[in-house]
Amino acid sequence: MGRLDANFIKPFVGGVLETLKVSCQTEVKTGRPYAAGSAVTPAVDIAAIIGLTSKTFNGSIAICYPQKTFLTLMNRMLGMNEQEISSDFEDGAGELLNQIFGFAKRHLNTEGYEIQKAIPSVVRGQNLRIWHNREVPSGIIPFESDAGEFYLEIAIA
Amino acid sequence: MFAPNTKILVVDDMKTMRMFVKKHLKELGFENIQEADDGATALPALEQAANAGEPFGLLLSDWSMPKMTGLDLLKQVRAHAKLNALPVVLVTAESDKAQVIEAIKAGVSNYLMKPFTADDLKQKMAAAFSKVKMAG
Repeated sequence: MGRLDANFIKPFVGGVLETLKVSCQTEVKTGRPYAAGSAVTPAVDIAAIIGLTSKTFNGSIAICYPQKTFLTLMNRMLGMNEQEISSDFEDGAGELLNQIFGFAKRHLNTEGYEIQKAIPSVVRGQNLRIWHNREVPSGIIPFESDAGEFYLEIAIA
Repeated sequence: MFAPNTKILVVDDMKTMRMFVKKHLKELGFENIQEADDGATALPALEQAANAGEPFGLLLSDWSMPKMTGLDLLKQVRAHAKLNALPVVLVTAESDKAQVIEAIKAGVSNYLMKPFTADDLKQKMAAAFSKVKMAG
């Protein structure tokens, strides 16, 4: 798995737990990470992706949600009760990933990773699949919560 | 302490973040809230309000925005004769030392890290208001 070791992944997991706890009042449990493609992932309806750039490596990180999970998280975050993912909600996927990325970047940069600033993008559709460069190691970190399941996918070269 | 009728401008290019901040402000009892999606639209809104004799009492701005960042907006505010005493809280997911130093040098009243609770926001706002009061 190369750079995808526990020390690299841990700050991203910490970012997910902290961001969803504080912003969405949702306690999240982390599942066992696995290599992308080695197991079936949940169907994804909305995802946010951000580039990872440093002097020594490049990659990307994506957070992928089924509709029900994302709606519950956003309704909690904004104190609403929407039944569909409206355009108002879409950039929330990017904002949550931005906060997760910021949390991880703060921790990793104190260890000399020198990760640069980046701007997330949001993609929507039924049964989305996020294709990172398959030539590089890509890991899935599944999460569970009372809002539903979702996962983080990290690819690093 | 600040008054609940304080007029607040929330600036963020992410609509959900503006909604999130407004939700927290309402929980804290603030009702007079306006929003802008970028520094470039926030500055004229601040100027117009000041010129109309109904100035904003607090600027709560995201740091990373297209067109004009929160830091650039802060610099413009501090250089403006009618706006320079306005309490400004910058909100960011980053915490690079150089960035914090730059914001302090530019005259930021306080600095709020994402993610944050309504209570975190309240504390940062209170500190920003007390700084202005002390300076006044």
